[in-house]
Amino acid sequence: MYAKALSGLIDKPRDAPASAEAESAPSDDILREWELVQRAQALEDSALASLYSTFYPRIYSYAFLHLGDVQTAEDLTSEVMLKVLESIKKYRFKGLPFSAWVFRIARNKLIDLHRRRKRRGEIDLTQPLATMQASPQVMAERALDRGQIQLALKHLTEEQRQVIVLKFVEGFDNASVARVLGRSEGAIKSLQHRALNSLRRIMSGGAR
Amino acid sequence: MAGSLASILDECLDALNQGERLEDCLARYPGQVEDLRTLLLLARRLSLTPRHQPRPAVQNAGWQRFLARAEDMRLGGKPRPSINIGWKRPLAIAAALVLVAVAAGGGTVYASQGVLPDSPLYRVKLASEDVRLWFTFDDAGKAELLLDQSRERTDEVMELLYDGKPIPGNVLSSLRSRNARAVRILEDRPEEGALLQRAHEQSAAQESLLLGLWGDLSQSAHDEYAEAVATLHNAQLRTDDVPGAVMPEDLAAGVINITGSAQETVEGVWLIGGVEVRLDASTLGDVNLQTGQAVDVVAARGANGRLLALTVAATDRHEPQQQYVVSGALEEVSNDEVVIAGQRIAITENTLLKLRLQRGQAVEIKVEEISGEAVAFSVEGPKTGPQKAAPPLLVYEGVIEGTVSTGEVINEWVVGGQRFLVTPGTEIDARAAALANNVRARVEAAIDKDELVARRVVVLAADPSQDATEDGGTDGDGTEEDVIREDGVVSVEGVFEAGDGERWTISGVEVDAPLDVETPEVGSLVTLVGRRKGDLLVTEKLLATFRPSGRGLAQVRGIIGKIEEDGTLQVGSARVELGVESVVRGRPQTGSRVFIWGSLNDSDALQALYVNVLDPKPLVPESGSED
Repeated sequence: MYAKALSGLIDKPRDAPASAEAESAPSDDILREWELVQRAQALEDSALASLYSTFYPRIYSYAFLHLGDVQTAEDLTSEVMLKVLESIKKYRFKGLPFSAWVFRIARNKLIDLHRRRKRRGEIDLTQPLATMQASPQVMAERALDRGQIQLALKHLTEEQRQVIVLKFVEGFDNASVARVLGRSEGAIKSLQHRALNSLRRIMSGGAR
Repeated sequence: MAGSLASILDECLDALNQGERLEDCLARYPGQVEDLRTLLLLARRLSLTPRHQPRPAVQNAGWQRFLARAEDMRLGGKPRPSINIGWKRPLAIAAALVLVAVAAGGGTVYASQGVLPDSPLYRVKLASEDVRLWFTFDDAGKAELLLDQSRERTDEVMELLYDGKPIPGNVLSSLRSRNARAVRILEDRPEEGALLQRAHEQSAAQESLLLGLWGDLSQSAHDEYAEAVATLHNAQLRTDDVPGAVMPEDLAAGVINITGSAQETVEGVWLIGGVEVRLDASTLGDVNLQTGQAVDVVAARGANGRLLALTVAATDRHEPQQQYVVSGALEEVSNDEVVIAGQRIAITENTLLKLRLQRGQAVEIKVEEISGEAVAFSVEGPKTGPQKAAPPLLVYEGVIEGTVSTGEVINEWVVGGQRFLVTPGTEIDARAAALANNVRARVEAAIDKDELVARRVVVLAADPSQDATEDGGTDGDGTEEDVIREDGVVSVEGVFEAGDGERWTISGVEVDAPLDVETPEVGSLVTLVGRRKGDLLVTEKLLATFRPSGRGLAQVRGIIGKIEEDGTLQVGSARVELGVESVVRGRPQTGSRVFIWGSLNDSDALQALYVNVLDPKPLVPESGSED
């Protein structure tokens, strides 16, 4: 069972301080991750199991927040994980977390899916009809529930949604978000500001 | 300004991430405190949000696939395209379930093949279907198999209905997912035209079936119902390359059937018989509406009460209505036909049977004329309990009082002082006038759990004074329209259930007994007019009482297609004879809607007891052929 094979892999980056993923020197976590990835490149069962059990839930959560549909998110996650496996030998460490590379694959798969849907003229099935109503005061101190965030994210632009999910839900630093989205770090800072502002307006019932 | 705030925000986020206190960061930027505080708190809330967790079984199934792929790679196999992984996902789940089932007892899988969704073995049946899918390697074959399996779900739904069992969510969920997977495959395979066409037609038929089933669902199945109807509807759009989609949220409060005249209000929003309905890219059917056009609309009702038209069908006023309804006790039952109210009606494999047919069973049959033959579209029985006797029908006519809302799953309407529940199963016929406060309406209802539940609401002509004029009764006596349709006056048609010299109960409604009138026999048809005084209906005039023959009462409603020389009315294929004792309210005309209470005579023909012509002018103009 893959869960029992977990060993050595760093936990979610959201739990790691941002400074540990500084651009200049890779952190110990990233170096341990790189070691694990090398074992996975050699197709070691335990390393593959660690990668799978770590990234499957994260990619699923990421996919679900973008798609809002369990089955499609599951399908996309499985596609991403197979793609990761099939491409892992091509991965080269460049100072950023391996997870940024994995999420880049996930993001590309997501774009492919959107293209297919657009070609079919399909509208996002989960787009909500109404915004949520909550004052900034009320929303100040408690965690968002998943339904709330799901609804609010639908009102953001694709890039804003990506930044919110990658930076605040997945815990990536700006450099990694920039890598996943193929943008500069400066652009990520601006996007992050606009995204939070939009989200604030949406959640207080205002128009975007 | 925005740029600098973006940098400040980023710096503070970074600082907080390293353990700095929020107030310390805000203190560095006194000019930005409010904006900064809100955004930083929002960021914190986002980071506290728990992740969506995958389903363990699906994750495990994916792991098996992942491992198998790794093994291929170790053996030097080339990577296979990882598309359509959704097909592989159920394998491990299915295989695990099948293995468990087999381990639990040999032959379980085989035994599961005929089971219905309410059986514990049903999961094994679904799992074995998934295994079949796993071993079907070409996409077209897989899509076809999925469509077959989706259709099997339809058969299971029909069987549950036939057994009088509620529809559980699992069968709807499976129907939906198999349909969606088939359509997803076929969308990328335009060369599979025949299968695409089949997917389209099957989805349409399945949606049509489900739209009539709200009242037959188990309580817990409403979410799956909304998902299934949305998927089937969207499948039709997708296979037609029509942009647009219905969302399950649009169906959160069920569906509603409205027939009426269309009036546009603002772009995309129409009043159908006075009810506001939105039409958009997801609406199917005759979507290019004209103001004044008569249409049948099936609309989805969202949790916010907004109605979205799923299908629109223009009603050609110059074609006689081919569908009518017959209610009563089944006189004969065979495999392919029934006899009710003297009418022989064919039962086909497409007939929606909502009960096991038995002689003597009280039913309501929607009948269509197909190639001159009366064919049952649906057969329904009483909703409550297995008893043969349906709660007696009440027909109540009065003025609509107060707001007529369609926004909730269950709405309360007051007509002529009487409260009715309007449910997703209630049909609204607003062809003659728009549904609104202060217009006259006729409600067909029956008691269900101590509540009067409206089966059908018919809005009558808006100007009641027109009704009171011409030629009140043709063949009968005592029609006295001027009394009947005065303001405040209600009329009641129903079955006498109990009573004495003071109080009568007519189809569940208590009325003040008319003076100097003999108490009718239980089971008699009673028609009267009166006025509401508090909770009591005070009878002003007893119009008639009829003691039916030993074979009970039957009802026919529809549009008069023909009036024969001897006065016999033809409604669809149903022939209703008028005798000397028949009371006719209003003037029968070809093309007018009519509601007839009758009873079988000695010649097995349906004899009218009480005929109520609903339209002072024909709703459907004669098409040129005279009687």
